[in-house]
Amino acid sequence: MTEVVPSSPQTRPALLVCEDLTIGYEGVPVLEKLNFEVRAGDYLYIVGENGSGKSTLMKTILGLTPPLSGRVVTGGGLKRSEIGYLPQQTAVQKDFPASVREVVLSGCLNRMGLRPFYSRTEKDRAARSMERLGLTGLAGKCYRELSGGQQQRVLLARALCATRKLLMLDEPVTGLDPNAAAGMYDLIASLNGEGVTVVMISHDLSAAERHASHILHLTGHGWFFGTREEYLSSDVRRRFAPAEGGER
Amino acid sequence: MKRLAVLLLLLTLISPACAADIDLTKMSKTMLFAVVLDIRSRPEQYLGKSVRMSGKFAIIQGVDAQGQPDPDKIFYNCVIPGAQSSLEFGVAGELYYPEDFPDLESTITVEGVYEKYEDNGKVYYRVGQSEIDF
Amino acid sequence: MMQEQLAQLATYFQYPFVRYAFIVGVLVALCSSLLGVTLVLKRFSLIGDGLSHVAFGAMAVAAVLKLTTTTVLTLPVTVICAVLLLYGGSRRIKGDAAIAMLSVSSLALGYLLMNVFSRSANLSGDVCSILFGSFSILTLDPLEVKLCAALSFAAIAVFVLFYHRIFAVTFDEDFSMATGLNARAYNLVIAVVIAVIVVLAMNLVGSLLISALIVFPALSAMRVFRSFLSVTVCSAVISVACASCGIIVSILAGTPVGSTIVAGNILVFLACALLGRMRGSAQ
Repeated sequence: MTEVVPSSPQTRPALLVCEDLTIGYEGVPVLEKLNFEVRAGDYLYIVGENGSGKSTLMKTILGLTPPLSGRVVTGGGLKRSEIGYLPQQTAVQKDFPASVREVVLSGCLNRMGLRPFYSRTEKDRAARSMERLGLTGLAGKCYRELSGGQQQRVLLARALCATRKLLMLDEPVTGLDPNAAAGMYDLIASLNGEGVTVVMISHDLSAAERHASHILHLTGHGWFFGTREEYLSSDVRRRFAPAEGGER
Repeated sequence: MKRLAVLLLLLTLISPACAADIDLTKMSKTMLFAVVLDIRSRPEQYLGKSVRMSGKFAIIQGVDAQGQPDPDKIFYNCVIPGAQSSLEFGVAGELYYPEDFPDLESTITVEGVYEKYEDNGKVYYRVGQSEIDF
Repeated sequence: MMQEQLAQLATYFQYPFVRYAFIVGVLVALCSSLLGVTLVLKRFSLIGDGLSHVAFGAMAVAAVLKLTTTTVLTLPVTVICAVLLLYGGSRRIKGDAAIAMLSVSSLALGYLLMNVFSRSANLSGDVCSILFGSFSILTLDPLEVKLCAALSFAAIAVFVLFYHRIFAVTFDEDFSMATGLNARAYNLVIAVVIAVIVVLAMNLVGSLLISALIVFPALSAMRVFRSFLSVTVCSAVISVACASCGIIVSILAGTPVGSTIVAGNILVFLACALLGRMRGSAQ
């Protein structure tokens, strides 16, 4: 199940390359001329204050919002449908009548083409995904009866069904208590250790400094991209004031 | 559901033959509306069936071939309030209007057989050969 | 007493229009309840209500034009409005005022047209009947029966074939789009099917009560069941049971068909809410 990751950074294929990307809403740019790349096996943290365009960037990479200019290139044999996404939860979902198994299975749809029903393959895939995240015991439970941490794990299992190559996570620990959050970080780090490339949006700088291989820091005026070591010794980090929560 | 359908079918077969095939006096308001509308929209399907109805007596003045009122042509109607509609009826035997007939808008019960007839070249339908109770 | 009622019911079932009413009623109840779950979860209930008023307006025009098969006019008009309202993606949120305007205008203009052009002896009765479905299901002409049956089967087939994708798009549209599902296309499919169901349901319960037919079975099922599949199946069972019992009770007791069916749905909802609460406190 795990992918073999070549040891040398230069030989690992670039899964995502953003070239001169300008993103924003309705013609108003939020970020301009962004350039960075994500290689197979990387663990990229996207950090920044509220409103700096983190979610917009993720949505643009995923094709949910068109970029204002520039482009996003996928490589290394990565297909658009092979990207797993963990979006922020909506209120509708928290109250949704669905079993855990049904939610996780819905991650397999991208591989089904025109087939109307799930086959043995998809069901096995979902079962393995749930097992990896320790959800097998909860398979029949109703999604809305789970705790916040469990719900996030279910959504992560769903994202894993969609991919084993690239996971895009939008603030996966929001609203979780410290224990659940720590558990989530450990889980994601271990997935990365198995070769899954991870791109994560987070407010939590300390977690970034512990786990990330690369950091993309978005400020209101510009951006910084580099390895964790480069970031730790950069000016940007010294000037960064942690966000105080608030509106998105 | 299947058992219910079979039960209804059996009841259809074993229920005693009604005095009238279509007894509007025994129907609920909902069915009454629907049945009368169906009789008026698809009269051919009801030819030959005996009909029993009750309502208010009304008449329509008939015209002759030139369109002038013809005193010998009076068409009788039973206005059925529950159905928001009326059905025409014709009488059996020799009855003369207005002596042998009830007052206008009085309650009547009519029983007859649905038939068609012609007037001035056009086809009409009515509950024919009826007995009136009033 | 029971014996009498059953015998009376048996005589009623001899009429073809009663048999058709039963068949079409069950089919319409089935497909409306299936889509009802999605509609409720996507917060589209008011849009369904708005569409039913648009359908009334179209029906009024059809009545003025003296069409016997009104579906021929009401269906395209409602489908077009549904697509305009629902296909916009996230833009539909701004359409709240647009829905209100469209809905109320259709009601007002429809009634106005009927008053000006109709030569019916009992206009208020006719309008009331269309709005509340007093007898509509019992007065379908044969072409309309075939049309309704065919459309119902089509809606059910679409729902079954696209079931998993409809689930995915209802649960999480962003995820579905990100992983390559053409969410816009499925939203379009859902919009068209909802319009079809609104037009069909108007024959069963009348324009004003369509929301109840679509929404109540889903809400009842959600109180009691825990997976999307079981909620959907339960919703269908409740809807079909209430529709068939409703038709039978209304033709026996002389009550309007639409209101009777909705009353049944309300009772079932209360029962399910109670059941859900008891089960909740027992855990």
